[in-house]
Amino acid sequence: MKKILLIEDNEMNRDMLSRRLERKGFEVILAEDGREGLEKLGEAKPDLVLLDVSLPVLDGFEVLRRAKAEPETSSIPVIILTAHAMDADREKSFELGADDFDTKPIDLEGLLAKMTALLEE
Amino acid sequence: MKAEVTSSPVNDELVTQVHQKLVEKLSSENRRLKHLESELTKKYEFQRILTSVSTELMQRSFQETLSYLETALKQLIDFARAERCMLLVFSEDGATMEEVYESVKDDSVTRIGSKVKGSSLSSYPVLEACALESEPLIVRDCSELSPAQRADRLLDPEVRSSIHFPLLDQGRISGLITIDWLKSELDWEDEMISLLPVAGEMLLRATSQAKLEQQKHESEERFRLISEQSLVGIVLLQDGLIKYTNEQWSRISEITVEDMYGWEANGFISMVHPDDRNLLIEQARKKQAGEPDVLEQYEWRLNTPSGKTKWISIYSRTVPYSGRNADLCTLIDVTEQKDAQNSLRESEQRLRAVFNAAEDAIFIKDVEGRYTQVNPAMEKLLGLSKDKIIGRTERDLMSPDVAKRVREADAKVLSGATVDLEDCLDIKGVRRFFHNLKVPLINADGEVIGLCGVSRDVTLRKSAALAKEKHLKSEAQNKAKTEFLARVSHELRTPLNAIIGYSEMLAEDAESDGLENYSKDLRKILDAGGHLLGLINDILDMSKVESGKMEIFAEKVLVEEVVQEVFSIIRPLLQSNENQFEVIREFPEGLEMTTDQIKLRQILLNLLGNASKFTRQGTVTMRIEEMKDAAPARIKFSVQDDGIGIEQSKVARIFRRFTQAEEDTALKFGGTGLGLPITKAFVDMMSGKIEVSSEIGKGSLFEVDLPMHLPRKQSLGSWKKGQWGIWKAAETDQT
Repeated sequence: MKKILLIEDNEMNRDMLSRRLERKGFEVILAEDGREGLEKLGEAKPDLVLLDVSLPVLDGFEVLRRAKAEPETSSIPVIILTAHAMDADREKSFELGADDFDTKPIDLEGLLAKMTALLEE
Repeated sequence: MKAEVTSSPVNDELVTQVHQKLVEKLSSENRRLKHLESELTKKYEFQRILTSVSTELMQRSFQETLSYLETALKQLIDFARAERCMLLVFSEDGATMEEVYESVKDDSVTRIGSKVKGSSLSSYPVLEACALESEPLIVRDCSELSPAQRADRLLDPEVRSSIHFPLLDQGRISGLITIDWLKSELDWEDEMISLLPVAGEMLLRATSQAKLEQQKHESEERFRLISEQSLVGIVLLQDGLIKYTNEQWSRISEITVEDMYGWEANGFISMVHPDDRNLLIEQARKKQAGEPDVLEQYEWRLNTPSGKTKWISIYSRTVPYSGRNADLCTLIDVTEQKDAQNSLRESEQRLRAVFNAAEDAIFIKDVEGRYTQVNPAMEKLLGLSKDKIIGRTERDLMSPDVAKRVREADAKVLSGATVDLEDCLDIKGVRRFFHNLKVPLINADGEVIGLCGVSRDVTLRKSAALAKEKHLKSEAQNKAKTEFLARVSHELRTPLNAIIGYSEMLAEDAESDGLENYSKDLRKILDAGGHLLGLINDILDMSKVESGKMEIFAEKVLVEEVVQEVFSIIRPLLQSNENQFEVIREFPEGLEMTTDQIKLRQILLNLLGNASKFTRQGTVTMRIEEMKDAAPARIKFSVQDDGIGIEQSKVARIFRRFTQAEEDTALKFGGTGLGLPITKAFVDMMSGKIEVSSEIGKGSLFEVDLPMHLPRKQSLGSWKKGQWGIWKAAETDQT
């Protein structure tokens, strides 16, 4: 069973996405802010990270930068999730080493396709 | 001389008588003899005095002559046993007693000379009469004088006897000599008295001679001083030889005076700069020949032994010298002035060049407001030639309201201020803006003598600035709008995310549990949520397009992959209207294009979405055609349907924002009316073309022609799959 770390501050989105992923057969670990996300990333060593951009304490880009800077976690694929459909976010995500990018609202099928592609690599 | 005495014894009485008489006679003779002797002695004495005085006068220098005069007069007093002697010297016109030399016997005698000196002769009638009549006045007893004569101030009341003698010098009465006796009366005989003028005239001539000599000496001295101390060089030239020169010329020419005196005839001209020699020679020739156009003053260059070149101003005059004509030249070193003049001229020329070449209009006005100088740019500005501007004022050249403003500004400048302002002027019916800078012109005494103005035409700059200001304002407004929309869309998306997510989950649950009733309603919630999301996305896209924030991210993509993804997304909509879908591929397998694939997909989804929406039980065809002949390579995507079609007159409207073909289209088919405008905007951004042909009842054909390869400004790397949620949800969008 693949282990997914979902870092998302919005309670409703966190709940909905985690439940849907669990139904699809993933183990989902949850974090509510950037710092907690980084902690769990180090502890749980997930197979993939779904990372929201606007997060309290540490924002998503900072979490991404630190995750990719740390040798132990740098190889873990990260998909950035953002509600901002702004091109600048996309660009910045890839600059900081994101493996893929998706906008909210989440199209589950599309997201699953991206996740599958990254997990298979 | 000796008296002879004779005697006879015969007649004693007679003899006695005779003797008596003889004695008497003898004694009288003797007295006479004695008197004569004394007279002679006086004459000798007088002669001795005259000789001594004249010897003294001859031996003395003229400066000492005047101081000796008193001594000479004192000798006369002693000789005459008088108390006072004065020599009065008349002025040239004979009206004033210009000089008075006085001597007195001793300190007990009052000096009166200083009272007389400088007085007019007419204030002393007695003296005046004596002078005018050229007759000596001899008063042996002053008590015999009339009261009027006694009142004559010259006559001291103490005086008992007095003589006044007019003195001749060079044939006219030039003075008087007076002798006053105070203690005794005059006992000279007339003959003796007549000797007095001899002495007087000798003294008088001595004074006038001394005076002349002094004047001559003074003028020589003055000339020497002037010449030697002068800052002006002096050269006296005769026959090309230097007859005289001074120290200053020696200093200027760096040659000693002695050396110059030793020169031959061409000495002077050899100092002159070769280029200027002809000038000097020619001037000398003209002067000699008495030609009228000879220059009195001119400038030439001097070459000095130390190698300097000095500018010399020469002023020459013809003067007599040793009986012949000579050139008296005064010479001044004007090198500094000349250099200053030259650099001033150069600087003036430079300024003049700037003045003439300047694009800004430059003008100078006098205190009366008249233009005195204008440059070509000013002529161009006013559309008038210089001669139509010079001497005129703004009142003559400008409209009354402009002239009034100009006058007000000028008044400030003429009171010493600098004025820097913008003004406009209608030239040939076009309003032009000018930046005017005006400064007062001040002379060396600090007086304002006019003003200088520079007018720069800032019309273009000003209109550009206005346009920029407008542009910035609208940009700022657009930015604010976009930011607002981005924020609103974010706020809307978050709850929408939940609505769509939960309803999808519930729908899946309902389907798997076989709860048909629930699943149908849940799908409706899902559709409505999707529609709302499409609207939000469209509005955000349009606003990004308008504010210029929409950017192109070109990357390599397989054409077939785009086709597949678009088809998989659009399929449910095609099926819902029972339409057939056909894809015609006219491109080789594995064809890659460099493009913004997100925008390309959106273009195709919009067109296919519209085709599906407005067609029922028909066929939607997508044709992809590689245009091989085009260079650079292009690709054409066509979407054709056999649906309701668009009326020809309405075709032009469909790409406009918020307009649809029919007023009620939205009611029948839904949509924001933004789909096609966004599509067109994207096509334009990707350097493509979009064309539409349509017929009511027969269907529509949309053709999008795009470059095969867009410049890859930024590559975002591989990002292969997905991203289709929003477009799937947007499938109900329409024109």
